[in-house]
Amino acid sequence: MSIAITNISKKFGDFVALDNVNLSLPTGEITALLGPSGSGKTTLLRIIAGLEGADAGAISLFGEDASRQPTKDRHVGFVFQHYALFKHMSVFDNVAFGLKIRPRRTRPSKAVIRDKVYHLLQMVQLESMANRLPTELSGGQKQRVALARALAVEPKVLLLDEPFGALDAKVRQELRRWLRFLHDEIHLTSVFVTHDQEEALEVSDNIVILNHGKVEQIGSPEEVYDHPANPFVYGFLGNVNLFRARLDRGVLNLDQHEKQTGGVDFFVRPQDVALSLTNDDGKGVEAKIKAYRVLGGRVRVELQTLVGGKEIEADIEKKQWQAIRDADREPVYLLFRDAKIYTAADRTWSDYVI
Amino acid sequence: MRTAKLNREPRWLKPTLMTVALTFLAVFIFLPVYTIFHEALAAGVFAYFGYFRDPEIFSAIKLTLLTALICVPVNTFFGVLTAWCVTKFEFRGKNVLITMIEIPFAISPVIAGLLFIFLFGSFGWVGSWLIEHNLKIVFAVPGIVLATAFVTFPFVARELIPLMQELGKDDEEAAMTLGAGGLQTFFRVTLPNIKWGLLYGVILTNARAIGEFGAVAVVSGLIRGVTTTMPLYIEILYNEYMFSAAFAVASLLTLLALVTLTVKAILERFIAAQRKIKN
Amino acid sequence: MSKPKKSQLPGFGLTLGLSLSYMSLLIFIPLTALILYAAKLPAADFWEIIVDERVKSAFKISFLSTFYAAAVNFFLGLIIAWVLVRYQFFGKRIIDALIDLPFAIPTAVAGISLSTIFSSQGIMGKILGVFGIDISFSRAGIVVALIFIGLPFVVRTVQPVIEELDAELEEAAASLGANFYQIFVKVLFPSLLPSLLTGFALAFARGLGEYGAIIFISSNMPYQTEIVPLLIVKKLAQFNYAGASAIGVTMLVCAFVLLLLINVLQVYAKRRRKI
Repeated sequence: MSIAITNISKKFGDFVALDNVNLSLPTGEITALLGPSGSGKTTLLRIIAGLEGADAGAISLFGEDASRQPTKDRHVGFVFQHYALFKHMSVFDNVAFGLKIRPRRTRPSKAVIRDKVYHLLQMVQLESMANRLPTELSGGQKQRVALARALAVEPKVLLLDEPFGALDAKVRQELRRWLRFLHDEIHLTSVFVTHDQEEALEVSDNIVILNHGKVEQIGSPEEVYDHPANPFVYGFLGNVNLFRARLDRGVLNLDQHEKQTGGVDFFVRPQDVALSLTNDDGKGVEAKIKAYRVLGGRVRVELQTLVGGKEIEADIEKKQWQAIRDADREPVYLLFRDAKIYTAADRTWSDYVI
Repeated sequence: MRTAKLNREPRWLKPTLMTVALTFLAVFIFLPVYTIFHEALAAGVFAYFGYFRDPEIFSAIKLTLLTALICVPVNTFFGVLTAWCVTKFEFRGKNVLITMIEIPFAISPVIAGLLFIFLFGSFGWVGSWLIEHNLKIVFAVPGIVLATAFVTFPFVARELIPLMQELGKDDEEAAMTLGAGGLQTFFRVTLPNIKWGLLYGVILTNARAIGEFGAVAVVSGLIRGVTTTMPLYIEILYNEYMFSAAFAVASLLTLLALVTLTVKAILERFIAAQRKIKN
Repeated sequence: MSKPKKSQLPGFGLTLGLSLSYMSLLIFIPLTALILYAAKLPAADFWEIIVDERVKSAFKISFLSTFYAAAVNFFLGLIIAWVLVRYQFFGKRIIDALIDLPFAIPTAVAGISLSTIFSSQGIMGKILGVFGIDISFSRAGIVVALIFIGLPFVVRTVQPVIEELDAELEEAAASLGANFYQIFVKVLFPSLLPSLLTGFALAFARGLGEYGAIIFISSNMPYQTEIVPLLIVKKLAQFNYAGASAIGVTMLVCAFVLLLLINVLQVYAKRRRKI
């Protein structure tokens, strides 16, 4: 394990940013710290870097206790959300900074520094920009300089704080793929903070979901998406229909109010809701279409069940939607292909499949 | 936008306000500056340069420069330390400390001088100790330096604090993650960011250090040729009805003031440009 | 003061320690020396010094002259700031830079110059003499010197606020049918008032302690044109340390009250500007 976090707690005044967090992050993988704002993810990243001191707990990096080490001795690369490039230095000087400031006996020669900086700039595809000032770069370019600068000191761990947060959608897409690609080349242990579940699912090997300063779940993207530990994780990773219903001997009964006893919580992702014009096996739920929105190749349909009046969102293919629209028949039938039932009492999940 | 605004203003407003403002500035800014040079040169250019052959003027200039030479670097150093401390860290009592920095501006220069009279005067234990060891602080050069340091302390800190607050801590944190130590971070990252603001503070410190009158008047004791700074010597000459000589010394200080204003105006533009880059 | 919680940057102990030590040596210890000396005076003696006729009239002269000067600056400062922000004219940049002259020029230099201009032989003295006004050596002279000293304070606090005034505010008012006077009185002036008051208070605080610019233009006559700082200097010259310390501490209290007031005003002005 490259990063071990034990019993870390941190308060800002009365606000609990981290509450007894325990984590081990595997070597050579990208881990995403995912959570809503205020969940403590950035604070955790800053504590790993030593930019913030924890109130309690310990951090060890590669088996060595780093809790009392100052940032400069921790050998972490840090990429800041707003890049924090040194405005008065050229791109070259920014990347070379960490090497140039070393004490004379460990400082590489000028030629070595030069080669190294150009190698890194080549890697981030900015070798032609070496003499520019940060103000002359676009957001995506700045972010890549920040990354090259962090990598120049050959850190043992790379930490990235909302690395794509300040970029527009298209650049963000590109940089995400590129970061993943880069990681597959250099296999540096990396941790990045994000509030965007899609980003976490796409880039990382490993996701840590935080909420209110606590770890909700740790796992691979597939694990946390398919087997969320609790309703928060389920809701946070992608859209989900949540409604309260009853199971009468295995048959779904929607005639159940929020406050009535005996109900269970159903979770169904919109893409697991199928629409049908017929109700062949009698298991479909009658619903009427309230609205729809065509999103490129897919269609988001808002429906309401006739029994119980539950609002359900379905995400279906355009072709299927066209068939349903052309038929122009009401009601339609909903089929839940993969629904999960959460029992709060014993915190367990069970599947409900039609 | 501008024209729309002009359209709405009554027609007489601009000429009236311009006349009032410019007349007022003519009387209170241009006339005083003009008068200083006019009076200094009243007896001719030859006489003007003649005044500066007076050894007492020479020693007044020397003492003024010595005072500035000590106060400016010392206050710059501590001003930067104070600004670093209040902008990079959160601690209890911070706002009180920031207010305390303003104290020398809030109190009368005469009181500033008075403080040192009471600290080092012959009636306290500090004063008796000084007399025992034959050390003179008030009515001597050290007193002048101390009083000047007191009144000029806030300039650097109060210029840097808002600037450094605005710039934030990101750059310093980035430098640290790249392995830079405290001094390296300050000299390579912080200083380039704040250099214009710092220079601005230094310029103002210097102007005040050279021109301070009230505080220095109280602690000087006016020993001619020993504890008279340029402003004090102006008073002496003026009270002895040597007006042209007084204005000749004043003209030097006025020139310095005009240079200060010019540099200040240029620096303000640099600082504004740097702020824009940040945002 | 406790240890820093939010930042791990280096140098907290060192910078705080050195700053506090320096400020203690330079500011706090001397302040304590004056206050301790005054505190040793019996309360009755202290009171007697303060309620002395000459001292009372000096305080009255100081406060009144400073108030008049700050009031003049309140209006003229607003006009000058307005002209500098809203109008374009030849030489504007130079004039803008020269507004700070009273900050940059030594007070003694300003003092002898103003005194010459307003003396009966000076340019302004002659002009005002036509109207039968004699400023030099009168209380009006003190006010003139204080107007000069206080001028930049109001201009420099109001100027940025006028610059930031949202054009949309005026346009909105105009679109609702307001004329210029209504816009000024109901929209502009209220948004400028906090900064005007701050500038007024700054000019007042500075003026109350001013010495160098005044003593040359004023006749410095007890009961008539003698300001408090001058009275302190005179007491010192007579080795009347008890008198100097009592008056000094009283002035100190005034200064601290003003400092507090200015802080409150600045917080208020800042909050108003954010909205």
